[in-house]
Amino acid sequence: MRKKYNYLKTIIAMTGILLLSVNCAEDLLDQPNPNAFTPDLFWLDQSDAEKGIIGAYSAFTHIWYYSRFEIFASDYRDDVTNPYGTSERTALGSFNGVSNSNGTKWVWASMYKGVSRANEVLFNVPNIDMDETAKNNILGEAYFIRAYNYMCLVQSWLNVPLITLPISEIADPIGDITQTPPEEVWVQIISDLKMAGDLLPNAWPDGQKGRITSGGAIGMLGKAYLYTKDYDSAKEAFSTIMDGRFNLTADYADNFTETKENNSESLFEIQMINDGNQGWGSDAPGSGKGAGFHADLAPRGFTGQDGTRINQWVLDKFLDERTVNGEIDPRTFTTLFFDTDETTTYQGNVLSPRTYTDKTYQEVFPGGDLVWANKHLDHAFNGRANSQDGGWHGSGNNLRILRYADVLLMYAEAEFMTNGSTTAALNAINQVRARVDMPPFTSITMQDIEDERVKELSLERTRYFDILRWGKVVEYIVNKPELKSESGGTSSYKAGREYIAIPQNELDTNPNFVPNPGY
Amino acid sequence: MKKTLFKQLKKTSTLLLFLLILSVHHMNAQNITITGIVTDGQNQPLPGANVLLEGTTIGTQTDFNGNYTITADSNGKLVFSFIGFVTKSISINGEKSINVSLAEDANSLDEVVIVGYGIQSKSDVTGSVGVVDSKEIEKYTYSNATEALQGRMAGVSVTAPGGTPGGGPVVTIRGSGTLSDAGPLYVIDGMLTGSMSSINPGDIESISVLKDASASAIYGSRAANGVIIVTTKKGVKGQIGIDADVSYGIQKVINTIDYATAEQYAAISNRARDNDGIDRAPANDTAFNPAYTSDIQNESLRTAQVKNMNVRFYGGGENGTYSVSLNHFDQDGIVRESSYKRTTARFNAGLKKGIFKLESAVGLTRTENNPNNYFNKERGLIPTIRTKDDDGNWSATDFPDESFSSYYGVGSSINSLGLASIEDRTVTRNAIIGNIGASLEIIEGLTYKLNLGLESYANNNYTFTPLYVFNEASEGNTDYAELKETNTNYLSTLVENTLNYKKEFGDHKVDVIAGYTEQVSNTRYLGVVARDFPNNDIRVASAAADFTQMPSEDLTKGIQSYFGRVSYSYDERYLLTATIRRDGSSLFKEDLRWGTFPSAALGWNISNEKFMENFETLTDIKLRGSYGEIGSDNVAIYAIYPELNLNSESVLGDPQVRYPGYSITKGVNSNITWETTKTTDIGLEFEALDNKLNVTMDYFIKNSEDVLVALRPSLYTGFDNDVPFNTASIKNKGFEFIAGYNDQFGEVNFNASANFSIINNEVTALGNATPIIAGGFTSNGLLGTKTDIGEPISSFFGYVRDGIYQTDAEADAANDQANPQAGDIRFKDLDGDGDVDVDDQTYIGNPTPNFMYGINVSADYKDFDISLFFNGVSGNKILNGVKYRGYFDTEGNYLADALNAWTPENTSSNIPRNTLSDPGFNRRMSDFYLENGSYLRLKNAQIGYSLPENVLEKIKIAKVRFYVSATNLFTITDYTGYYPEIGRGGRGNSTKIFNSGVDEGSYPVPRTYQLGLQVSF
Repeated sequence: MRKKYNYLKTIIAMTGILLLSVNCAEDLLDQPNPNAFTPDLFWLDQSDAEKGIIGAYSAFTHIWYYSRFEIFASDYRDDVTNPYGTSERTALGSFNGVSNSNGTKWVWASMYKGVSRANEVLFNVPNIDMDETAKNNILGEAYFIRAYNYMCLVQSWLNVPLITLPISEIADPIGDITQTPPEEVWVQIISDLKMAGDLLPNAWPDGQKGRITSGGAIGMLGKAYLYTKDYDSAKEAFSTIMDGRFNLTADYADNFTETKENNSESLFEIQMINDGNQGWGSDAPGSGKGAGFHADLAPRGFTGQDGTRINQWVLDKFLDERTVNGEIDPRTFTTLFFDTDETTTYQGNVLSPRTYTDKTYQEVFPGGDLVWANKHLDHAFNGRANSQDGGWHGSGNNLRILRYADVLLMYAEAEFMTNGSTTAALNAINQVRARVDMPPFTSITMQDIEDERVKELSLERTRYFDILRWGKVVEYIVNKPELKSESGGTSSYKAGREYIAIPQNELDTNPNFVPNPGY
Repeated sequence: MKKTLFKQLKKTSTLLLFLLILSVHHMNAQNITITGIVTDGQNQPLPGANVLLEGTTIGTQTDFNGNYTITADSNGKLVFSFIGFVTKSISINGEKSINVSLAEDANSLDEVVIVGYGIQSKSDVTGSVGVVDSKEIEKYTYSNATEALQGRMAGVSVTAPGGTPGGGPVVTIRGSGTLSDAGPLYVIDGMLTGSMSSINPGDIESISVLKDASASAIYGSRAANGVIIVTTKKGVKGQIGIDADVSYGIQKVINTIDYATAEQYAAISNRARDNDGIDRAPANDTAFNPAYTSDIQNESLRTAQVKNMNVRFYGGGENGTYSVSLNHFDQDGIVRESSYKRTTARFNAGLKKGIFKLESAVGLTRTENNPNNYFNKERGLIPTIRTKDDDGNWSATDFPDESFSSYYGVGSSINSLGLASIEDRTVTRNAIIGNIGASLEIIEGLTYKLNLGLESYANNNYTFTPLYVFNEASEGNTDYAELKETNTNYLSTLVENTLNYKKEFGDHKVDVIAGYTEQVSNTRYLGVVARDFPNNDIRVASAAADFTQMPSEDLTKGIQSYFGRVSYSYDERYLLTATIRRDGSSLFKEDLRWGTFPSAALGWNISNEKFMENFETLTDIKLRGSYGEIGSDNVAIYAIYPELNLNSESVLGDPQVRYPGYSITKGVNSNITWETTKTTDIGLEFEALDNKLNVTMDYFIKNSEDVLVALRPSLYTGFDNDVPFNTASIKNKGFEFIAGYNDQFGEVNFNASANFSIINNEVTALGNATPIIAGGFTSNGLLGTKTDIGEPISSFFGYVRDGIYQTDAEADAANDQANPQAGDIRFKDLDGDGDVDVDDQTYIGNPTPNFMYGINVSADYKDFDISLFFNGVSGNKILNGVKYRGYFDTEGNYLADALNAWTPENTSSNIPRNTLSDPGFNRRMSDFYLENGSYLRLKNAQIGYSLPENVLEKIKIAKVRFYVSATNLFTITDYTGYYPEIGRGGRGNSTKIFNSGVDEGSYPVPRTYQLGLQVSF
């Protein structure tokens, strides 16, 4: 009996363990994520709104965007650069940007990151109980960021889906989304930029510098009007901000150095920093936010990348005319690294071709005659030995996206397109020229405006889109394969390839999507 | 008892009582000494057999010649027993000499097979189970226990990641049924885990691989990639012993790659630059200095040692057994600055008292891994640069005053050996895995068992890169010293309750098991990336000025299961096994959380049929068939939950600072669920030639459905990640063959076994997912593999070469999308549309062998023994990424063969012209990179000599054996890389399975020679 009792005790004890383990069972299968902040706990107060809008700006410094890859979808496609090597990086420039190449999809993806984050802000922030001014400012920024990204998207891909709600608010994020006619996208861009102009402040405190202002948004609005050929509205927008709130810097070179970031001429610039952080990608802790694209502009020998050279005609264009002192246009030295014995005295400095480590052209390329880029590299300031010295993000030089000089030239163009070579047009363009000691025009042609834009704005992510809006891609690029001789010429061009292919991923994931013409 | 006796006594007559007393008195009085000999059926003496007087503790054992002497009651009964023989009891009846012949126990002779939650005799098994036992495993030294499976059984592919010391091999059972890197489930002494790397190979008693659903469905949702059951050595009742095994070996590289010398490199580079019309690099031309050269490959390689020491004490008495073992394994890599050390201790004990049984197995493991992550890194040191400067310091330029890239003509050049030398790297892990199983036999045949399992480890991953300047180019220097350190704690606990009923009723044999189990695992880690240290000698995070990242995470996963199995056999002829497991997992959302995984199998022991009685040619014929569904839960923990990204920061302000920003970057499919694999298996087993030959054959079809495939969402969503969907299907079909042969020729015992398997893998559906393009072999974006419907997973995909263009006109006429010219590769216009473009790519090979085989031959003669183990694969291709670097990469060294490139004078070459700009895009993915990956190798060879018994008796040692062994003594292969066993390429964030067969010059597999000594007391 005693033994049996012992058995019983053991069985009860073991059953007890069994029951115990069964009892806690349901909890065991419910494992909420203790690591992540879930979206349903967000968008509650002003600090959430701040973090949300910063997140929307953050997309600009993604490595696929202005930190590096965007240059392959803009300046690498124009007639100024002649990039080396046939690769995904140069494919777009030789009209070979097939739908599944990374160059095609990365920039698109990062621009839509900007769009989706702006949409989150625009959807959620109005419901937050917070300071009204702060709320309006943040909404204004979101309108701007959405509009700017759509401008880039529609200019490069033409037939893009217009999404204005968070993805989570769209019942069927595949079936409900389709490509939108470009003119409708432009309507949205203009509407958003108007909202931004109304809601944004004229300036931000020092600690917030770099956030878009009302003037910046209006400048971008003028650009949108110009691109849609609504010249009167463009002029009106530009005039609004030609009221002294922006001024050309005395020294042209101030726009390309880290020491003069967010200066009086700047309407919108991408904020970059060299704080030692490296890394490819973004939205990850400690990822680099420096100007990784420098390696794609630096002269041969100063980059680990294939890089690009600059087509000779650009230098020739600069050398076509002289300053009021009979010297080379000072912008030439800022923009290019080329072979000359001449110097230009400008703003108290004697300018001559210099690249990294203050080397002269003959020191680097003895006997050479190729033209290379110099703009943005900022080596005099940062003292780097080459473009990747200190790593990919070794330069924190901000990338200026919209400068007052551009506003003046765009104003001149809009005025010229409506009224011809008027005083107003001449005043605007001559202001830009006067800053660099170039003699004033007494009358202008469209060619003069085009040339001035090349000299003032080359390598500033606008040349290709100028050519595109002027309808001259075939004339300026396709018919001059020698301008892309280092990456396979332009023979791949087919009608429609002025625009980039719709990424294969989108065609694959959404049956509503159709490829762009020519692909 | 007393009462009963008393009652009986009452009833019993005085006479009877008297007789009883008399007889008791009589028994006590007649103790006699009995001697005898115990033999087996062939009259061979059985040393160590137990002789026991029934009902007492009086007993003895036979000596070496089978003799025994015992003093016992002349009316008692002696019980003779010996493992593997039928116990016999014989009444003494006053006999003083009793010789006994014990019959071999048919059941025990019949091998037992360890299956999920139990043991079955081989004749009762209806599933497909592969077994390797300690006899085979003990012979060789492995840096990772998993390697012991390689080539040992059909259908099990084990591929080591090259020769990395301690590297964990990829194990694939019956072909990949998943598009993830999920591997098999490991069950180590009852503890369910994900790897067996922490186990000392010398501790392993046996490894069972459950290959079909009949065998594995009892593990339900974790069985789809196969189940590997490992049991460790236990003590043996009545035997006390000490086994020691010490070995020392040296390892050498088998094959090196023929890289260019400095002169050759300069010539190739100059020719490429001449072809491109760009200036020669001074270091290769005007400033070429023959004194400034290096050979980074050979400087990085060495002859390295490997040591292994194993000691095990074991024993057991009537009620308990124990086994304690210690092991130390110490391997230096043949690549400098790499090593691996493993120290293990294992305590296994068993206790049995009446109806209670307690078993415990506990293993402690410490591993220290110092990997060399730089060997053969892309952009390696070009041979025109010395590895060290005049002062003997590591360097990567001999002209520090010159602009590196313009002087050397490369953008960067990594001194991989220098970096590996100055950097500190250690991955240290202290792990424990163990379990305690208590069982209680409630009534005869019915056993309840509680099994508590535990696995825990603390992992420290530490890297310190000091401030260094090898050159001024990118990747040649750092601006700061950097410490990366992560501590991970892991704990997994298992509670299993099982009830087992085993009974034989006449011809019916039943074995039923039912169970309930729970397992919870938690991983928590905290890491730091810290920079800027006061100097290079202070290497702790607290000294850093800058804390860049502190990654940390807490991950918990729970699984809860009910399972049952019925095994029934009738008359040892007809067998039935039915299994079911129902699993609930925290990985999935509530309504998709539970899955049921059934299987059923039938077996027919044909030889036991009456009509086969006179059929002697083949014996033990068994035909079996099974069908079942098993699952795989391989999704990341918390994959179903949406989350905010807290790191979308932006730079603002004057001065500029980073502002925190949040965003949604992760797309989520909360409807994911199990992958299900449906397996059909038909097997045939038989023996022949008087049981000297045994053969097992299996044919299987494995259909994996609801396979998770990552879909890149539309990019317009703003999501970064691939989102998993259960939309793919994969089919694996195959045939497996295993044969074993044992024989004796005079004094030679001969044993051979061979296995082969044929596997056919095909993706049968992807759902909405696009074909998966992966298999990167360079940072320059080229990809080598494509996974699409109708093809094996990770098939090589690219262009097909058709010689070299001999003239520019020929090149122009081809209408290649790129701009080839004379000397560039001609790629075939496969679709015949008059141009060469993306449509002309095709499938050009498969990285997975479709035929694998292993052959094991061993023999002993007198005191000598020899064993040879061959294994091989065929039908696979390897993407030799070294060819990309050696012919096309503008950075790093060239292969010497690049000198033989096409030139207008050397038109017969099949190597395209040297060029840096490569306008003809010669480097595109094509069959240029592919090589035959087949090999046959003598994986292991060993010769042993044991001291003869007469010597042993004198020195009172049970066994002394010396051995010499060699690993990879020879390998027959066409592969030109280091070695055809390469594992998977490491590029991309994507799943590594899609990088199968991609070799970027991975760690060479060494050839090892070893001397060893085994001693048993």
